[in-house]
Amino acid sequence: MAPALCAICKTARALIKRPKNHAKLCKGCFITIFEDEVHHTITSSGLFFPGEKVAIGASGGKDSTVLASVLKTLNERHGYGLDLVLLSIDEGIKGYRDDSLETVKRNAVQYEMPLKVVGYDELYGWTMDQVVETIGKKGNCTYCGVFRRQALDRGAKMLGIKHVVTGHNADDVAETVLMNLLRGDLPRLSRSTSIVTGNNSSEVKRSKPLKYSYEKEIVLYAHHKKLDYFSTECIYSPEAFRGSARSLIKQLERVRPSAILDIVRSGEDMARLVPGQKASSCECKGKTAAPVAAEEEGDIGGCSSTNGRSPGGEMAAMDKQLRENEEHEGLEIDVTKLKLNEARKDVKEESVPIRVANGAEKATGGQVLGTCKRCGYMSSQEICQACTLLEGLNKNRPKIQI
Amino acid sequence: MADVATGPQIPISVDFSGGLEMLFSNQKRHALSIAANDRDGKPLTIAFLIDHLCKNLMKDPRSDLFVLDGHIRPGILVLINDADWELEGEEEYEIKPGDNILFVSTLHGG
Amino acid sequence: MESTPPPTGPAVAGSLTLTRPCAKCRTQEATLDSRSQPVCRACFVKFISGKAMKQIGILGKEIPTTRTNATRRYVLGLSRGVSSTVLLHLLNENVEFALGKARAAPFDLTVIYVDSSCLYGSKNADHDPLAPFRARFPRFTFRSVSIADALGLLGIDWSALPSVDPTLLPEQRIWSFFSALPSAASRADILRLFTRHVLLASARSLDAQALLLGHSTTALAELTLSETAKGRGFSLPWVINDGGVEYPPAGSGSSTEGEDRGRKILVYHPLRDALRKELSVYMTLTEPPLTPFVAEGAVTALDSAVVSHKDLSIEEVMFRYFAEVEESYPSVVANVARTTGKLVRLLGGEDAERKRGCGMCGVPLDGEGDERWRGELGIRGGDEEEKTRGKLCYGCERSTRG
Repeated sequence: MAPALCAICKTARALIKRPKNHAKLCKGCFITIFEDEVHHTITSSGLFFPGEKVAIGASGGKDSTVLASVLKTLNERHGYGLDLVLLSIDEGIKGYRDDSLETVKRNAVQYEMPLKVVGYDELYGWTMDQVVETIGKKGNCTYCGVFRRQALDRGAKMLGIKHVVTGHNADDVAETVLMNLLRGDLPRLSRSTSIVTGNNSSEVKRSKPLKYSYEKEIVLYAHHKKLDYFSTECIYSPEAFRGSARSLIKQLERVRPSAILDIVRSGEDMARLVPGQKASSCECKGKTAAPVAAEEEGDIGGCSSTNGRSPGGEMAAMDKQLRENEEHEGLEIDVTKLKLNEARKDVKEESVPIRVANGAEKATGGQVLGTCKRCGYMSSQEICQACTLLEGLNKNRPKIQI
Repeated sequence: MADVATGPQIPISVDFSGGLEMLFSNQKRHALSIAANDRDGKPLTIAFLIDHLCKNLMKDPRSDLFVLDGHIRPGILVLINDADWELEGEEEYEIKPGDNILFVSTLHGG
Repeated sequence: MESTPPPTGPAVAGSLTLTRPCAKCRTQEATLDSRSQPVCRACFVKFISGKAMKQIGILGKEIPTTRTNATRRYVLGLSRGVSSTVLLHLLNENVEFALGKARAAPFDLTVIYVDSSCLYGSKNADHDPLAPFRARFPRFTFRSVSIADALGLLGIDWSALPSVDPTLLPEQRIWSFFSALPSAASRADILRLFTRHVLLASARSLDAQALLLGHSTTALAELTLSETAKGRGFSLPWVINDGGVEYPPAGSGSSTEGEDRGRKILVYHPLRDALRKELSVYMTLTEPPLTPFVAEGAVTALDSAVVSHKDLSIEEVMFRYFAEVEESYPSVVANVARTTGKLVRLLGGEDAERKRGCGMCGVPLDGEGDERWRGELGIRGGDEEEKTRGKLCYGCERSTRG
């Protein structure tokens, strides 16, 4: 068959078929429209202000590399006036981060951005290798995820930066929407679709400018712009993605490519259907997106963008707890009386201690954020998750070391 | 390579990236010479190539990270001479001498 | 699910030799596993019918009988699959129970089968698929209604849909409408919506107060995630939760008085607390078993081998996903529908146009969500043709036009 021509310039050969609308585009027009759309997301939600210092959470992987490249391009093209910094976390996994950190270092040179690397050892006194030595491989992704979340905030604070952008893409958001439906966690569902997280009282806010960008297009953008990125599975999460929400998303994409953005749309709409939710005004009208409280939001899973990719353990724990609740209360309980808060609390304590016990009622309208009594970082509990996990680890250390 | 079919061979290059190279001896580019027709004399398609790669080139036992239920795993992009294979007929595309086929995973950690 | 074969010799109940006593009655040998418990056949049957009876009881209370309205009139949608066949059986038992106690039948039931065979070209005029059902359940009225009836329904705004040649016969017209749809996913989606329309219209024309649907808890979980993946997050509370819908929807061309006036019909899912696999087991335990009634292929619903991976519908992808999840994590499945139950039904906007609802699915249009989405993604207003034709919701627009 004759090669298709680009739907925009009508001259060059089409190389890309866009999942969101089937448009066939050439390389140049694709790169332009990809950047224009991220620019639109940034301006319509008022993500940045001129002169703002912004840290890009950089893992060396495709998402954060593309984010850094696009932000540099847009910052120059549209005169955002941003002061961009790469912020990298070293979990302390030998053979995993070494190569990806090298990639980030090259990116720093390529994009002429300063780089700050923060290690788990200096933040927590533990490298992930030591954590695994202590608790084994099972469940270690939880530690890694909780530690990383704070690590970015702490690193940003060290640099005097109040805004961290991450490479979360549309696939990540869609996956979070489906996972929270399976978890039955409506408050978190309604937060997870928000482009800005972290509330006014928190010291560091986070945002995801690639929220509407397909993972597929991110990879194609990196490929066609010949970006230097690194990809590997974390050696501590070798579990494949079979049966996971991630795998479900990719199957849906194959059947109907628009499905990923359609899930994001559904998630945004459902956020308005959660009881007690304030009627949200259209964010594109306001100058600045209203940040949503999302401390310890947990949509950053084990690896930088791989939430839910190994849900086996989590699903099992969710199921077990839900079953116990059913036995306690009988299945025929009124929906409104469901003590889901308790369910959630127990589930998390057992398996994934992400966001422990929020009253559903108050959580829907925005959580009350305080600070951790131990480390002083924002937390809705007296003791934040990282400190709770550390306490357990430190208790175990002597036993292990004997 | 243990190809049963004989007859004319065509040279192609196959690339793996986005983490897939791990399944193929950690090597990104493979220059291959492959039979132009399959056993039934039909032209070489991408579907046949995928099967061929699984049987002959993959050194890793985890073939389900590449192929699932008989098709390329959802989340792996296939580019034929830099064009999305969706523009080229996907599995039915008939491979020509000198073609470059790139398999790139979107599934690996970012 | 059947764990051990039923004991063959004389019953050993009551003796001390029970190897695996039923967790519910403790006096019988358990022959089944139900939600991780060993149970006997009698207790399992009671468990399932109890769940259905409770829901049917709730519905009965919603429709108090009065002197002017002496009888409850229900319509059951029968697909000839497992769930709706089991529900039919349970409704029959419910009536027999009342009659056995010399009480009046609690309701009149008309069973509607929506015949879509004209879409598959497998129309067999001599064959009455309902004959075995009529013979087994003589108390109820059975009707087969063609999917082509959707063409004449006031509830569907055909001006909003792709046009079809009006000179064709109805069954040819509906066939050509379906074959012009963009994908297998669209066809499956719209077939489901039209089926629902035909059922609601039948209930309306029979002056029934309620439409009963056979969805199991698993089916409702699948529907929740499918509709989310189709961009219909906003409609979930209208589709998944039990409750009243106006039919035909207000403003859909129905007059405010007379025959075609919209009236509230309660849509109920009495099997919402039973898992699909439980119904499959239940079906084999009735006297005589319901197995022969279930349409060929409906037991496993889909044959994975024959369908090309791209021709799958979103429903089929979800069906496969939930088959895995239900097997391992039944409580997670049960929790999905309960979670959706907490979302509120919103009217999309103030003005009448929005209240009118989507021309295809009938759910109120989400003006706020549409506006927000256009803003976020930078989608310009529609073209002239779009402005003049009837309005569809986001998900229905996707299904009709890709």
